[in-house]
Amino acid sequence: MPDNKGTFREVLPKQGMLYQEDIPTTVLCKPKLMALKSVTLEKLEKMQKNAQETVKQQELMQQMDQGSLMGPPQSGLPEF
Amino acid sequence: MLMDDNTIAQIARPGTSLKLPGTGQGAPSAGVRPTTQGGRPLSGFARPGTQGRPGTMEQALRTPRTAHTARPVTSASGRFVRLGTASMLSNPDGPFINLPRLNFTKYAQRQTLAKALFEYIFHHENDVRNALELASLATEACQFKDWWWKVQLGKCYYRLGLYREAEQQFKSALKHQDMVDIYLYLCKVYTRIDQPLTAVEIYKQALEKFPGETAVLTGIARIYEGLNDLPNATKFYKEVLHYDNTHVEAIACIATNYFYSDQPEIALKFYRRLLQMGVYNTELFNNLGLCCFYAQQYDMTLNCFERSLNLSTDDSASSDCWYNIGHVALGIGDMNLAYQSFRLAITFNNDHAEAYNNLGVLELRKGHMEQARAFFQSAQMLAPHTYEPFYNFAALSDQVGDLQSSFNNAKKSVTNYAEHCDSQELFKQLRKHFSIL
Amino acid sequence: MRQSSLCIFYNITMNYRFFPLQSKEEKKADEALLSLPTKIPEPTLKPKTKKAPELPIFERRNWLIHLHYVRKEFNTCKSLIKEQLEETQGMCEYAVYVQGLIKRMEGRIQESLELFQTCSLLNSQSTDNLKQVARSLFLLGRHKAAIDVYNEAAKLSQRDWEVSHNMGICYMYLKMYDKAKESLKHAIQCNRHDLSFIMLGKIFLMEGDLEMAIDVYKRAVEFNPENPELLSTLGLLYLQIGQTQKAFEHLGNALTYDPSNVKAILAAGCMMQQHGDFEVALTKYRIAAAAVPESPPLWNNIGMCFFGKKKYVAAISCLKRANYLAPFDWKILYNLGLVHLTMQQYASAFHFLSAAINLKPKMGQLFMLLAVALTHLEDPDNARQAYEQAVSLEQSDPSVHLNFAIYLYNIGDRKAASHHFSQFEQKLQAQRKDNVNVEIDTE
Repeated sequence: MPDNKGTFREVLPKQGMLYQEDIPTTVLCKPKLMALKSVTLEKLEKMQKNAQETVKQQELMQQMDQGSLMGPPQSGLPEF
Repeated sequence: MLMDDNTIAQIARPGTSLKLPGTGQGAPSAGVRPTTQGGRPLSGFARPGTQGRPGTMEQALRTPRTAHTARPVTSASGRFVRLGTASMLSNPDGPFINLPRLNFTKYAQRQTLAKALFEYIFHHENDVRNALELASLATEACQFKDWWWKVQLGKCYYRLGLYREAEQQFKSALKHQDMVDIYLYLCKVYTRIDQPLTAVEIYKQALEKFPGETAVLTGIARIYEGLNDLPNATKFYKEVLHYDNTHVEAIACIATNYFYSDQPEIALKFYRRLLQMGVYNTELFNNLGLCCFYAQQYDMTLNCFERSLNLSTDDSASSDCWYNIGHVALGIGDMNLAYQSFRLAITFNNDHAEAYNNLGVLELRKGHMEQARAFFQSAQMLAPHTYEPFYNFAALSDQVGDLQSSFNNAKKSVTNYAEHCDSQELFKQLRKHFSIL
Repeated sequence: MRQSSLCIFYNITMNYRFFPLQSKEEKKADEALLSLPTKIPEPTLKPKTKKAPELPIFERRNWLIHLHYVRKEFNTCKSLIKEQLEETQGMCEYAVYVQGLIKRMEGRIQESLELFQTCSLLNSQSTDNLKQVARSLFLLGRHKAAIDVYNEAAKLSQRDWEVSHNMGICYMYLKMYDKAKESLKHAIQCNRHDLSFIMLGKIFLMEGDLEMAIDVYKRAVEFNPENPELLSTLGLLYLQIGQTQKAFEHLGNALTYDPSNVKAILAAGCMMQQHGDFEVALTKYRIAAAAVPESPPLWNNIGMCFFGKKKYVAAISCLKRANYLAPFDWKILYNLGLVHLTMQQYASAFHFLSAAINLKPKMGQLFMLLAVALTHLEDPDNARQAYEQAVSLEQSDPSVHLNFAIYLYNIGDRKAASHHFSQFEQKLQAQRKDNVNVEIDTE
């Protein structure tokens, strides 16, 4: 007993809980560590994102250009 | 792999193919460490071209097209399609060089210019066919004596899916010049035609010439990891660290391995090292959070997850992060928080199969059979490679006496993870029912 | 194993009962064929057909279908069946029957049900056809309908074990336990089959009637003294009613017949462990761990073995693995708390214990351990509250009062301490049988 100033230590159970039987239960999916990305991969993803953005903008510009030539594309019903 | 004419044998012996990874001696089982769609253990590091790609047509069609999985499913690797994005951008002044107008024969004679031109065509324009034409003319022009052109030819063949031709070029280049790069390319070819053991062999030859070369060592480790031979993978990653103690990939993979073999404290040390090295992103903090929790450093856990969520730029990462927070909540016995966290995981990524499965388990604990069933079914649809939702569904159906569903699901579970004892037991019992005359 | 071979034997005889159309020669030929390892070329049939030309054409190739079926050559079987059905415009009962069996084995119950229904249309006097229809309904979870069909079948043959047994199981799924017991008892009268005993015992257990369940299993063991499954179940039941001697005997027997029986190992290991026999328990567990490496209860027990041997680090890593595999399990968390308390890691202990309390809120001993953790984390107010909870929840365990008394004594509340100490002594008197803790403290 480590204590000396007239105090007592608690009495802890010696056995703990034991199992006599294994009853199958449902299974959980386990926690998932995330894969770290390599610098190359991160760069590639960034490049791709930027490129896609630019392409989108270019397309938009083109549409606008065409739109200004041919008038607003969708303004109510088409005229006959 | 789909529409792949480079396959030789349909069924390889276990341990000799990346498509049919061995069960892994001494490695944590699928019941402890999650797997990818192909049945390989989840890696600690994402590299270009190594992220999960759907294996069959059905999977490809079913697989949700999120930012992470939307890959073309043909033999051409996803990465090259991405690299080509530079060529998609049209320049307002027209292309810098008009390829169809070039006279390749003329330029092939002028070696220095030809090399620069080749690189432009290959890397910037992403026009492999023209690059190949130039390269073959140039190699002829120097009487097949320049290893550089052979390597470029090999690269072109590789991109075109002509792996045997690529192999020849690289091998021939090696005769002129021993270079790490060439060995790496050659091994890439072998990995691609699913001959991992040959690749390891070549890597080892390279190591004899270039002892301690980390790129080579990493290559070997990656292959062992893909073969589910984690003890060997760890051995080589550790060797990488011996020569380069700031190698992020090696640190991350070793850490992952420790985490899933009941040593989160050691995993934590490795991830801390990455933090010291300046890696600062959502993935790292998520992993730090999990390690802290399982290593009983509770004061740090929530901080890490908080930071991980703050740093996250895409929904899929946030989703994974909430999914793991759900596990922490389970660990402290707070079922409500767990439920909410898994819910949030689904909100961020509607295709988070594991979260669906765990929600099903939680519903079942509350006695809500129907909800549980629906969650398990969603999980099955999204992740047909897992065993958990199938086993859970089978057990549930067995309890209510729907032995037909139970049988089918137990069968699926056993196929996906043959060593799962409870599934085996259930399947055995059901089979008895079904084979009695 | 023995049981399954019995089953096969039983099935084969059933088939012969079912098709009495074969002539004597045919039967002999069949038996000869069955004993031969390789396929007999078909021409052997020719001289026989000359001798027995009265054989109805529909059933001409039944023997061959049967042969392929018992050899599990299902593909050959299927193509033969197809031919035969084409020849007879689907009127060949046996072919349809075997097709049904094959479909069932492939897990396609709905289709097999339809086939068996066709069979009973073709031959309404056969019990087997009805039994198969009922069985299909049972497998589909349509228990009421299955019972109806079994009743029909029972009219055709009175003392049929299979009918009564399966009816019992259907009733069990419908939670009509009295009816179920009646049917199963009837089944046992017809044929003392293990399965019927096991099911009957299960029903008694579901009703919470341990005595009766033990009785049933005892009888089952009498008829089947070498079945490890029965032996270990009976052993476990004895363990539950505290008859350790008998329990150990049966578990030991189970292990003699099957040394790697996980169920018996876990139960026997648990008993050894309770008697402090950690080494032997660990050797047993090692066998089980090879068979079921992902069983949380097993890892829990292994962990507590190490705890008993005072190898705390090993204990914690086993328990943590168990907890990783089964996070909902409060017993594992309790043990983790206990081990950490013993190692004086009070913050971790507190964490595990409070998680356990979240999962199992009405457990006095958990609150007691939590109180101990709180005392050492220097939170006396909450510690006291936890003790009070513990005392109010736990009626029998004297150590709760003892620890509360120690706590009160240590903070200087002598009066309250002596009150709880006397309560502790009272409780201890009440269960004098085990004086485990007495040697440590006397005030």
